[in-house]
Amino acid sequence: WKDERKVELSTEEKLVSLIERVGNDTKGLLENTIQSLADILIPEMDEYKDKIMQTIMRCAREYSEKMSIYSTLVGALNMKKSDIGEEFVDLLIEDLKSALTMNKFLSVKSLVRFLSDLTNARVVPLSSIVSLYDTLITVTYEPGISQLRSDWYTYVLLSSLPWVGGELQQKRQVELDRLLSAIGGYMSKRTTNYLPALQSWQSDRPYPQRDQLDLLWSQVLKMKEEGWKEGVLVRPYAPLESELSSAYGHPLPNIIIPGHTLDSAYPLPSTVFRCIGESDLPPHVGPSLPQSESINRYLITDIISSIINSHTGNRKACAHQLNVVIERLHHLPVEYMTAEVLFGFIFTLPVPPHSLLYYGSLTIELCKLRPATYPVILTQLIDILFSQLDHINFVVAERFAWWFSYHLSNYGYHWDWSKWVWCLQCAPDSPPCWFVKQVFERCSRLGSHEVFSELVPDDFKPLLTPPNDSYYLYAEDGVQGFEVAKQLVESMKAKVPLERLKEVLDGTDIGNNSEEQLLELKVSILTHCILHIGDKTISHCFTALHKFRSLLLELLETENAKLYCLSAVGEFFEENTQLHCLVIDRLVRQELIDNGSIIKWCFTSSNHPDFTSRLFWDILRSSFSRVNKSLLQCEKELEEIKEKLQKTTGLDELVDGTEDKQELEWKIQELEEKVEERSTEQKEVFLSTCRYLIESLCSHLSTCDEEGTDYETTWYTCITDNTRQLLIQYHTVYRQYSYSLESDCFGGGVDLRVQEIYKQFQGIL
Amino acid sequence: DPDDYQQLLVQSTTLYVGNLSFYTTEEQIYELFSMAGDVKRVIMGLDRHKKTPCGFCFVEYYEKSAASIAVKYINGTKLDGRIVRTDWDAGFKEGRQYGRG
Repeated sequence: WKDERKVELSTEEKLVSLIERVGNDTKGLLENTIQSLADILIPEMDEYKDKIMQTIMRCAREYSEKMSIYSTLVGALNMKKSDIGEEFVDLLIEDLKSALTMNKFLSVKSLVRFLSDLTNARVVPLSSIVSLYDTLITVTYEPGISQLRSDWYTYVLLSSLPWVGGELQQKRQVELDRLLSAIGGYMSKRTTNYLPALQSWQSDRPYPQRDQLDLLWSQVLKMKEEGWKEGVLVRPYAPLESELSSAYGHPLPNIIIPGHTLDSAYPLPSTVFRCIGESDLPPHVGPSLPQSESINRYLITDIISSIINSHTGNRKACAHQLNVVIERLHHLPVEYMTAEVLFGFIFTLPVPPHSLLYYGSLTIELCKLRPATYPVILTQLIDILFSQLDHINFVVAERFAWWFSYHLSNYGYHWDWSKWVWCLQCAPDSPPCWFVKQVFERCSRLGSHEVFSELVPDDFKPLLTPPNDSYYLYAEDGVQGFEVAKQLVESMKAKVPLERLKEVLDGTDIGNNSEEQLLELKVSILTHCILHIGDKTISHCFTALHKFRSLLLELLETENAKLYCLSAVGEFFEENTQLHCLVIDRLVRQELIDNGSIIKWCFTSSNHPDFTSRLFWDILRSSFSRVNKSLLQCEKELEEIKEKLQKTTGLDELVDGTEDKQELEWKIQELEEKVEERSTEQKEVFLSTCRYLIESLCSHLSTCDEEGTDYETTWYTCITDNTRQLLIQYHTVYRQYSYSLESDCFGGGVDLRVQEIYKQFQGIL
Repeated sequence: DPDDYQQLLVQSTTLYVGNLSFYTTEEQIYELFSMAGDVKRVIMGLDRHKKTPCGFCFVEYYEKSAASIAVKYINGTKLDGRIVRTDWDAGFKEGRQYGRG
């Protein structure tokens, strides 16, 4: 039965598959394969033109390592039927225009590159590309614009040059020289004082980590010096040159770069992550690593990055595609470079472009595809990174710990810790010890603490965090409030009505002490009792919080009461950071605690978490993210309703039968108030955090100066790195408050070393 | 109605997670799945008679985007030494936590 229904590919599907696979098979001459494909496609054009063209464009973008194969294919089609070439160019121009208006920066880059390469396939005349480049470089002359804007268009131009530099040099030398000198002029004007905020390492070890645009400029200049030669790209149009030249080229129309608007969120500057050098490669392996300033290093890194960026939906397909490149370019150590690029993504500051789980699971797929080599390379890079932890950025170190424990959890926590035994001689708060502790903590949470701790060698055991435990303050007689707590827990277990529980709690007596002290004790008792009742699993805990929410709500009217509650939660979960964080989040979502109080508690309470702990930053980060998301959500709702109202203008009757105009206007008013409220909260939370962090840093600096001790401690570096990261991650928010940020946070009296953080932040924008 | 079911799946923020070890705890599930985004709740699959974990659970997120990350990147990787399977679920209803054990 099944055989009868054997699935036949439709003609359209067959054509798509042929286009996708062209060049994958290494048998026969590539240029012949491409010409045969063109011969197959031409007669199908009448019926499937749109699909064929869209597929070629998609493939050129997704399989960027095969881009020139697709350029040649278009060239071959154009040679046979010039109108196809023309239509194709029109389509690309339409795409480019829309990518420019919609701020789709990565598409702009790949489209400009594809158009450039089409000159090699004689589909587009060289003069058109020169004009396009002139248009791009003109952006750098615009007065008073953000460096982000001029950087991006310069980057687009530079990243296309490796494809056409040689042609330009031969046929348009004057124009090329003029272009390069314009770029050179721009490059010398740029400032890169933000670099320390974006680098993984605060030193040139293990390898210098340069500004992306700066490095690309050096690489292009070096390529020019070497006669525009490279050793990476497949250029199947070269052998076809005389044939292709007979075809008609299609001049590009003038492209206008849309002016700067507030919505143009240009990509932030970035640095090029490096962790391998020639000496790290095993000496007996043939291929040699292109030097840092070689264009080949850029081209391979760019191919790998594009594949990773365009396959986020399917990690297996991504790994497969990377494997194709590793095998095709076997004369180069692409496997090493893939691992380096993946670490670069994971460590990107302020935040990686995609979920860390993507990069983590992709690494696992690569290990599966290349079991003999990839795990060995990873191990070597992990060792290099670990040996350089002393000057690594703390945010990066935390990501490293995250990735490493996740990776270990997929391989039975198998790791030879003994080779890292030297770190046990370092100070307990030194980065290597801090890192191992972080990894241990995460591993004991992902696996079970019991199982994981058995795998840890004895000498490393002191770095293990104790197993999750809770601390119920009212367990033993003698503590003030013991009786009430005991009765409360019993009543909770007996499922008595909430009013009765309230009566029990109201029976708390503290003699002559103040009302405030009474409140503090009541909040402490109630919080402890609820957590104690739910002290079995996370679900039990959340159920208890839900069940007794109204009792807490009644007590938590003032900010002080909220701080007492947070302190009680902190006491109860002192040895369970996972639940500590989850419970705080739940309290906010249940509208018992607000984010502002959390920030205050984090910095002022006597039992606040250690500033260098993961817990502290987890709590801060989730507060920031909640505040930000809830504001965005409100703004989105408001926008939607406003749109709905606009559609109904002029009609007094019911809109889609449910709401009338009046009702929508009320809703708008309500939401506008909510947006106002949320943005006040956001401003307060973001600025107060900043103020607290700066105060802490300044007071540390003045103490160190007075005592004459070194101020660059683990504590100091950890706070500086995290502060910078928060500022940049939320730069769009902070920019709105730049006045307050400048005057209230980084004002005149602040230590110059701390003001440096602000200067770097400003440098990025 | 299959259309309603499709609609529920499209809106869903809940995943069905299968092939877990019987010893895997809720804490471990929170730890792994929180890497994709904030988890709203985890419902452990229980043996109908013994009321002990029996190798599956439901994970509900606050946001669809987080659930989608988990489906794409956690599916087929390991938790507690077992390759877990994640699938979209139309949403948890009381009673569905009881498996055959």
